[in-house]
Amino acid sequence: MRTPPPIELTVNGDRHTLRVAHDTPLLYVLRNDLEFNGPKFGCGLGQCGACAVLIGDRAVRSCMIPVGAALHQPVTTLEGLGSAARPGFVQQAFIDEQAAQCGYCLSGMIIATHALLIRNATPTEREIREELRFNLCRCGTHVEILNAVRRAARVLRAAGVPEGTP
Amino acid sequence: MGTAPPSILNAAQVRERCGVTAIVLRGHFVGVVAESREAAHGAAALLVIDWTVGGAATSAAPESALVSRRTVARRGDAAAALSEATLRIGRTYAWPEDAECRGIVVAEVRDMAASIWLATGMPARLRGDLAVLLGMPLECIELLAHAFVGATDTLATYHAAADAALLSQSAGRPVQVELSRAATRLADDPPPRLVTTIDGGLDETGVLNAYAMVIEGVSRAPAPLALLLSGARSLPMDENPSAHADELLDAPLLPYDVEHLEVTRVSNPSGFSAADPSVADFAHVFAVESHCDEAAAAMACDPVTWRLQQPIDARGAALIRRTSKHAAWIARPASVSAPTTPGGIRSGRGFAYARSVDGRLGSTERSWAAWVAEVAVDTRNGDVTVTRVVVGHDAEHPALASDRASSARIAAPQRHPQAVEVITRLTTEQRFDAPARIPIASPLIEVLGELEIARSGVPERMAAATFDAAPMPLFGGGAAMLPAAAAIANAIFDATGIRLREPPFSADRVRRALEESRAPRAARERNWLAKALAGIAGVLALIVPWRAPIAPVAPPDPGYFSAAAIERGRLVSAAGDCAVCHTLPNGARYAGGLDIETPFGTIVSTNITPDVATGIGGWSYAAFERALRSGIHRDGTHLYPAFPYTAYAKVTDGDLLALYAYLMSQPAVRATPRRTRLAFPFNVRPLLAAWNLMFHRSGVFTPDPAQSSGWNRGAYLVDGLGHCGGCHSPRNAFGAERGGRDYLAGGSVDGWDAPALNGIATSPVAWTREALYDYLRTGYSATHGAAAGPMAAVVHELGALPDDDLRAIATYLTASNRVVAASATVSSAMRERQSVTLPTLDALGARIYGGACAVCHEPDQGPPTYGIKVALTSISTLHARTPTNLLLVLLQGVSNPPTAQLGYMPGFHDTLDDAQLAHLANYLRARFAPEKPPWRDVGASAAALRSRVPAP
Repeated sequence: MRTPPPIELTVNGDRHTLRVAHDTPLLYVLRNDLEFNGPKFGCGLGQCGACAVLIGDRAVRSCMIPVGAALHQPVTTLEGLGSAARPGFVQQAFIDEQAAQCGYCLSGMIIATHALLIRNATPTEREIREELRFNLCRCGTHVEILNAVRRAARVLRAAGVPEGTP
Repeated sequence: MGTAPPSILNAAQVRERCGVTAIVLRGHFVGVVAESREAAHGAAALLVIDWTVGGAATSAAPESALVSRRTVARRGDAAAALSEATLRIGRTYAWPEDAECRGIVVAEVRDMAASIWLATGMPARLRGDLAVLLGMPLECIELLAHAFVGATDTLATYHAAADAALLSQSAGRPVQVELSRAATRLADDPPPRLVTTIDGGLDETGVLNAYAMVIEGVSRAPAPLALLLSGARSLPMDENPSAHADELLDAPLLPYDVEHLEVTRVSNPSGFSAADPSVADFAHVFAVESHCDEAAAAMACDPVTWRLQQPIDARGAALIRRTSKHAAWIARPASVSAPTTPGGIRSGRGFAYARSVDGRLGSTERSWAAWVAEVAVDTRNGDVTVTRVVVGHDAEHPALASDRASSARIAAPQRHPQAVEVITRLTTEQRFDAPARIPIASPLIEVLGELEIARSGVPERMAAATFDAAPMPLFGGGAAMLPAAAAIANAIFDATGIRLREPPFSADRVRRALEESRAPRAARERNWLAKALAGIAGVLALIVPWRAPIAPVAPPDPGYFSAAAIERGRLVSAAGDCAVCHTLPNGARYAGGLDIETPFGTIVSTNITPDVATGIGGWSYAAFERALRSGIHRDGTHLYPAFPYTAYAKVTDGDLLALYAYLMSQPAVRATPRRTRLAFPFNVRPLLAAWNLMFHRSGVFTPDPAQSSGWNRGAYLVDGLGHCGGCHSPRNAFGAERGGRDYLAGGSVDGWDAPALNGIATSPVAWTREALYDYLRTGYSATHGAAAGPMAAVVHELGALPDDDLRAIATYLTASNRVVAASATVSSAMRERQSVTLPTLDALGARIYGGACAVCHEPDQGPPTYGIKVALTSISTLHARTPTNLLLVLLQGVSNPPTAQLGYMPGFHDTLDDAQLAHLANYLRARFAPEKPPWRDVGASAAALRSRVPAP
């Protein structure tokens, strides 16, 4: 098998040269080729939000976007927002509020929260709910998740974006 | 099989595609191994194979030698007895193949070890065939049972196993093969039907005493296609362990011990495989028991009473009595049917009986089954609902014999999954991937003689086989289901008087039969056009001017054309959309091969690369110009007007010459697309001379001096090169574009509706020049929606054209619209539309919309996502006359937007069924186009379109 021509994809600040078909869903490349397993495969139809990643500063459902459409802007996954040792401020807010049951949706929730706060550091309650409206959680952790988003917004207002956070 | 193997002309290019692991060529067997099923299918479609290298492949034996006629059972003198019969009933019954059944197999073949995982099969025979195919000793081949989801078909599994083994051996890695039943046939073979003709003679007391039966369409024991194609030697017929399968239908199966009997079997190579005996059993019982019912009806006798009067064994008679008693069957003549209810529902009951021998285990144990089925037939739409089934079953099985008491036990009414499946298959046009629609309203299936017996007593022979984990075959489960088809058909007859002699008994067929029975003398609809054309064919032959071939020339040298001419030709080609039809998806540009569906048949686009042998390399400019302006091939034959020479005739000489320069400068691709083969009379190409006389206007475009230069340029592009009318104008019965008031009034292409462009636009907001320019340039207009379907390819091609040309097109089309272009109107109209009070909306559709669509499409809600948030409020698709384009987008999604910035949409082919699509479409229509009437029969449209759209 001849491999396809190389493409360059920037993920979490690192440049990767890959030989994958341009029409491969971005999620598959992130999880299978680059081993970023933060984004999850949920529905495969762009409906649940578990696979969300940032392309530029937009939360995008990576199961539906071919990798070829993500070459011109940097991609950020959950891993790009922080680590277990140094969680990002949104991640820390989710930990502080214990906003997880099974956790499958959380990568998408955190990415969506980031996208919101990048755009709007002082979101209203309605704006928060609107932003997360189409990220599905099956466990019913919505109350805690909303608390976490409010907390993250408070942290952001109080301290500005911590150093090193996208 | 011919002796010369084929050659793959583009193996290197296809191998370079991503995902492709290996291309396997063994004899006449060609296969692609890839990382995913999609990649494999995609690559296989691209292979250009020359099957005729070294002489045409021909059959080794003439067809007639392969058709055999054989008497498989004879008792007494059936012919003589029939001629003396008091009443003789001759009928023919058919049993179709269930083409959607499929088999899945995984094979791993390394060195001298082959492991094959499969769901069902005929292990002994398969191992033998695989040993020959792979050139390995029998003991190196290991068959392992694995329950693949959806793998149901024995024959397809059998062929898939051979394919997978051969591919794995060649590719050196594990391979999974999934085959549908239809794929196990050679391409040219029609789907087989098993046709059974029964001539039965009754004596003066109504007893069946003569029986002549001819079964046509069973193929003699087949070898796996891979075995034949790869050239590995097939087993001689008499060594073949499955040869006995051919004998399966012998006399014991006939449940009545008729005095004079003759059963003849006509086998042909394309018939049903004898490797699948259960199908033959079902077909056989269906024919025999339908025939019995017809005989009883002819005698005005109750069908159960009639059967008990026949020569029948005691155990079978006892089962019939027991089953009919349990079903509370009250004897009455078959001809008296139940009255129709006010709602148009007619109910009826049917009986059928079977005696079979469990041949698959090699045993001689007999098994009896009797069915009483009750149905309700909706005479308005033909829906058949099976309301109740009573199944009686008895068998000569050790476990059953030792526990006779249990066979007399009457099981509680239950949903019996196997019976439900059989009934569903019989009463619906089954699709493998569609969730089974159970037509049983509240199924009351009562099974007498429990089937668990089969599970408790696994015969030793099975346990000893390599395949000890295999699911149980026919015994028990299968044999008890044999009378199902006849029982339901007989019940439908009882209810409606309609005799269906071929399953499935789908609503469609029942409705048609009902309509025919209501109007028996109604003239059948004929294709008047076909007749008319055929009628005048002779006359035309006299008046048609003969078009001479133009001698081939050597192709012009590279460098003969100036770079400027070639560049101009590139734009001409883009404006003319040449590549849209003359290129396969992912195929070589301009190499042709694309199917173009027309009402007259499928026309295949040709290779227009400058290859001398297969393309237009030998065409002089004179030949090229004649083809484009008059629709005449270089060799003098007429081209079908699917090729828009009617529009290209308007193109200027300069543009045509530039196009010639451009096409002749493209890489030559050696590829011979399939020949277009239309049915008579459309295959008589000289008839097109008459067509051209009637509909073709020659003459280059002449500008209208009263109009602006932009308008004239737009008109030239729209009517000439762009041939917009090819899709956007309706066509008359002869396939010619209509002019006058119907000019650009909307047409159809590849199943999509091409909307009207002539000012009767159905969008809520009229197209402005700017909106149309945006749409043509970017594939998206904020006020009208995105280009999809065939238009996406057109927008992609238009990408090569300068802005001025697109503005000219927009100018011409909006000028013809005579609509004021004012952006103020746009926004006010949109505001108005959003304030419209919502009518009662489809609740289920709303839920589907909320889950599947709202995240990207709900106006002013949710986060910004990738691509454009297409506002549904104003898109033309929701305002169209039919839901066609909406359904096509929902089914296929948008995987190839004209520009990447537009974003992508997933297809819901596999996630929403026809009813759900209908709910969704109705909801969208009512919410976003409330002033338009609701669409009708959306579910039916969805079903029809679904079959045209490949699964993603």
